[in-house]
Amino acid sequence: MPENRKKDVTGTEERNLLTGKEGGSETEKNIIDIAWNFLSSMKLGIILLLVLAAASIIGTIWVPRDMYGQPDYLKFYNHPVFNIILALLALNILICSINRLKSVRSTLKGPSVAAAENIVKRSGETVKIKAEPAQAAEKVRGLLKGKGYRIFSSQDGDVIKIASDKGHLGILGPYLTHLSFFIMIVAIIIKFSGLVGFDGTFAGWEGETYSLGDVHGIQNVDYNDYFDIRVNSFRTEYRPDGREIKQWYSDVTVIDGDKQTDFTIYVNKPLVYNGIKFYQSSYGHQYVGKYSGSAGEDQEFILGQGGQEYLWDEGTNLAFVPTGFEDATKKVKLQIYKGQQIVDEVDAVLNQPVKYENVEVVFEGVRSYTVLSTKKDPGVPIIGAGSILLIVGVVISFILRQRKIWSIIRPDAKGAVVEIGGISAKDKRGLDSDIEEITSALKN
Amino acid sequence: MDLVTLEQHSFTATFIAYGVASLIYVIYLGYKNESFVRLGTIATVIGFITNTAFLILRWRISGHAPFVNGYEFLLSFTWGIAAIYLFAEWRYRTKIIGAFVMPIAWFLLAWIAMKMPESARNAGNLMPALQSNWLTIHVATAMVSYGAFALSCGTSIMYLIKKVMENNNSRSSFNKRMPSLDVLDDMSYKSIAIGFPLLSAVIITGAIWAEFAWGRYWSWDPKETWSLITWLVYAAYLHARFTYGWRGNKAAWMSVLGFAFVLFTFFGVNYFLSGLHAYGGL
Repeated sequence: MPENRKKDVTGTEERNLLTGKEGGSETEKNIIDIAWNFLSSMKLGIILLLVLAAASIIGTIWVPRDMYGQPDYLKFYNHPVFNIILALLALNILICSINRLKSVRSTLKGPSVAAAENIVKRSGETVKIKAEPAQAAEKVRGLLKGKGYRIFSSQDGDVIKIASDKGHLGILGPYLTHLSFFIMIVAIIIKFSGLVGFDGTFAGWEGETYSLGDVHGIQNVDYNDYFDIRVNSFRTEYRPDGREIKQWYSDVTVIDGDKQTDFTIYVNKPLVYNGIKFYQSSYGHQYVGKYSGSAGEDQEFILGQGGQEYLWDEGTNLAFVPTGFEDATKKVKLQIYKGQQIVDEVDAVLNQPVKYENVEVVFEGVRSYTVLSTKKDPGVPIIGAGSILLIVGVVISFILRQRKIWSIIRPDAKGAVVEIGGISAKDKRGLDSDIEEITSALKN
Repeated sequence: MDLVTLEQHSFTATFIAYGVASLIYVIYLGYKNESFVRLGTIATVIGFITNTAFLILRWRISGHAPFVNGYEFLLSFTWGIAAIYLFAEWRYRTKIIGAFVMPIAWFLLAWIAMKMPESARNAGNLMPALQSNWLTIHVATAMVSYGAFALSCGTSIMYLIKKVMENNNSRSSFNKRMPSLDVLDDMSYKSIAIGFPLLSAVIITGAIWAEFAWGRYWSWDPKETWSLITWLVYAAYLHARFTYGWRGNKAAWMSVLGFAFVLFTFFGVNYFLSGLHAYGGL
């Protein structure tokens, strides 16, 4: 594994070179140590990532259904087993982060000059220069500085040792990323604890005023935050073809004491008031009118909410099914069936009769209700902060890739000998090209 | 000529250009001729221009970003692949990678040409949930991210092939002209280093959008879940690389696996699973 050890990001290699010890050689004495080592191992982390991926796959293939036969993804992903995997991963990340703290500190402090001998011995190049060691060292420092390296020097008799690095802040990248994971877990725990916020539904008829207490599932809302909500209208906007729906709107007025504020809610544009959000989620209509059937009888009807779903004429076996209402044109979208077969689709203007065979239908009025999913989740801004941190962390860890270069300058009969070598876990090629450029600049 | 016809021609031109480019790059594997392979680059550039033209025309025709149905997704995806590939060709000054990357773009288009019915290709209106500025940013990031993963997959396949040839002490000119194992490994990793932050951004912009549209930043919808699965696979790759020094073969296999997950998230989810995200209609 010597090849692999070279890739160590944490700088443990540097320490190992100093102490001559292999990483992780402490003897595991008791159960706590064993558990700690198990939980802090990166191997466990990688296995958990893959287990989590595998479990997620299962959840998309074997989908639990709710009582209506609709997919209920949460039933799987809220299962304790899935959450135990998540919790283990969280624990693993926490312990790994604690274990790494030391090496992060040492990385931020800078590479140790004492490691120079071992590094240049293993991966160094040698350049002879006709100059005093002090001058040669100054040149090396100048070149390193020009490339943005931090410089740490020490002199021991005639021998000058220089340790240098750049991109050391990159080590904070993974830290921020893992921290963001924690922050998000916290937000999710807050949500599922049920102690703050709620997920609910609100349904309201046009023209009626409702209290927040009418929201189904409301909880954890302070009474001082309560307000009333009046549904002014629910509207469906169709595209010019009259078939495709463009948008659904709910015009509402929030009545908070003496203050009245108008809002229009539509898909992608929720109403947010006192931290409570209302999303356009569903709707319905009640149609009233008259019909005269094939038997010549006149009848009034109520369809939709509070009535049956469609009109059926026994004599002709015709069914009239209203499917929507276009507010701009006052047209009821009507499908006409003969038995199971759809025979016509018409737009029925209010108060104008629609005739099919010898059945006549007049729609006289439409009243609509809107359904708004309602929620309060104080965890959302936390998730937002976590997301930003995640992106910042990931970007930092890819952009700032630490390179470390050590140089030893010794006097020589003709001037000075510079030995130079380095390590980089994430950017070996960048390091090699830096060293190459420095050595060729030294030769000239 | 009206915009719709022009758009159809731009698709055909892109299809032909990517096909010609793939062919030239593949021939170049066994036939070393620099002026010949330059034609491959020219064909790729032409394809990239017509691909861009397609997207712009589609945007003009439909009045919204061309990221709505499966047809538009695919052409955005191939755009991302061509963009990332041209960047890599310029950056690394090696054209042989084209033989492993451009066919991916071409196969995607061939798949549309063979499989997608006319009705599924037409520019459509945005349904209410899609009417959001987040659509553009969400899909645009996905496009570049997936393009980068495609490049990583292509270079990883090259790595695996070259490794076998080296093990057999192959002296073929094909082996000699491939970039060194180190360069291939590095390219594959760097592509993931571009793709991974972007994939994170794709998931996050999707979550923000879902919070506005559905009132839930995460609902374990299959598309969401599969993008998370893809993210987890690449996260595992990165951890294995940095702490265990997984390079070479193991890393290459993992990159290929990661891209298989990208493809499944892209097509498989729409095809085999259903959910809130099923706008694609492939």
